[in-house]
Amino acid sequence: MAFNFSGKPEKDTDDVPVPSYVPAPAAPIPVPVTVIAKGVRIEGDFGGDGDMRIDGEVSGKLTVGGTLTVGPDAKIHAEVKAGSLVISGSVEGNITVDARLDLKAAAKIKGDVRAQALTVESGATIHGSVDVGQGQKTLPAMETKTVKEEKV
Amino acid sequence: MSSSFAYVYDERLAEYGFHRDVARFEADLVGFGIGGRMARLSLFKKAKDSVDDFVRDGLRHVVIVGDDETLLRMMSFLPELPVTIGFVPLIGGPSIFSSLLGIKNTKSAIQALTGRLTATFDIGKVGDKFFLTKVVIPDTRAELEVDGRFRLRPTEGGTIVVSNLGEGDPRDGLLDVRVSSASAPKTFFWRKPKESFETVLRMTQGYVRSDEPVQLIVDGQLLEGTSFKIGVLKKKARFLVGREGLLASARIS
Repeated sequence: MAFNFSGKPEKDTDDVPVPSYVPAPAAPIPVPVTVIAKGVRIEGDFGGDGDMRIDGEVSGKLTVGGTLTVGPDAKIHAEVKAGSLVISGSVEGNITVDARLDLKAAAKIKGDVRAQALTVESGATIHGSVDVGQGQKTLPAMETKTVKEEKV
Repeated sequence: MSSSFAYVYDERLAEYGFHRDVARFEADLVGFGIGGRMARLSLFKKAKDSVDDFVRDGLRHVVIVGDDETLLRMMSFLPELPVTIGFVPLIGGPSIFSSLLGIKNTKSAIQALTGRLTATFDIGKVGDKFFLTKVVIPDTRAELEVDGRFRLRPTEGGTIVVSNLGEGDPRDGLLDVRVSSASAPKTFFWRKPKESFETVLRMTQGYVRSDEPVQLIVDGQLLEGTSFKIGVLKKKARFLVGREGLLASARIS
């Protein structure tokens, strides 16, 4: 008898007496968070199910299932979809966020924004429409509006 | 039992300094009833020819006797054969596979051979060449197309490392890609930079493309060209392992 790393016993086809010992399953190696560092450019349909941080350049389409963090030097020219999104850099393209969008002071957005919840630090700029509360009962006061907030 | 084992020795073990170790090891094999056919690597005979002969004769366990370098040389063709791979670090010295396979020394290697515990790992492939650990593309601006979905390029140059084992988990059917930017500033460990300078992502298949010829270091061996296909074969190689170590210590620095 042998084992595989899922911990399930595995039959060795060799007809040799073997020990009855079955070890505990090995601990899984943690999956690293996806990172696109400064000095790296991505072109195409990029994304992932987990969390992601971008400090480099991305153009095309960007879809992230978890939390996407856009660093201060990041340059994104893409349609962005994310579970949650924190932006400190620049994004050109429409943004759709399932949950919360946080715009830090250095954030610069050119495109339409849709999110369940939105926080905006003073200094962040948005050129486009902002739609907050999508997917829930949208109150008239929360319907599409355009925000232009210039850096102080 | 002995009929299913074959042993492939590194040619360095023929040197005088190893005579006593080899004799003791072979006596232990006989004592535990796991003796078998033997071949010695040499410049003039291809290792693959020897192992092919073993497989034709029905041997199912091929044991590499030497060090990490010996094992990596054999891994260029062993995954395509129907054999379970054993490892005996008789040459000694630092060994990443010793900790991975739970084989600290010759004694624990023999225990692994007699214990018949096995673990199955993914194997990477560059073109038609297998790799167990990683592919390194140093100091490059080559483009890496990932899973046919997007292209990645270090704009200011950098080192691309594609790992199956080491940074990555050799059981997940994926390859880990890390790109170290050439422009990364030197920082002290207690001062974490605000930006990340190492790109980290995972893929199942990629193409390396470059206008200029690039060098790839594949499990320590050099390849050169302008275009390479890199992929991963799930659960392709089966190893005899010890009771301890395994993947808890499989990460390579």
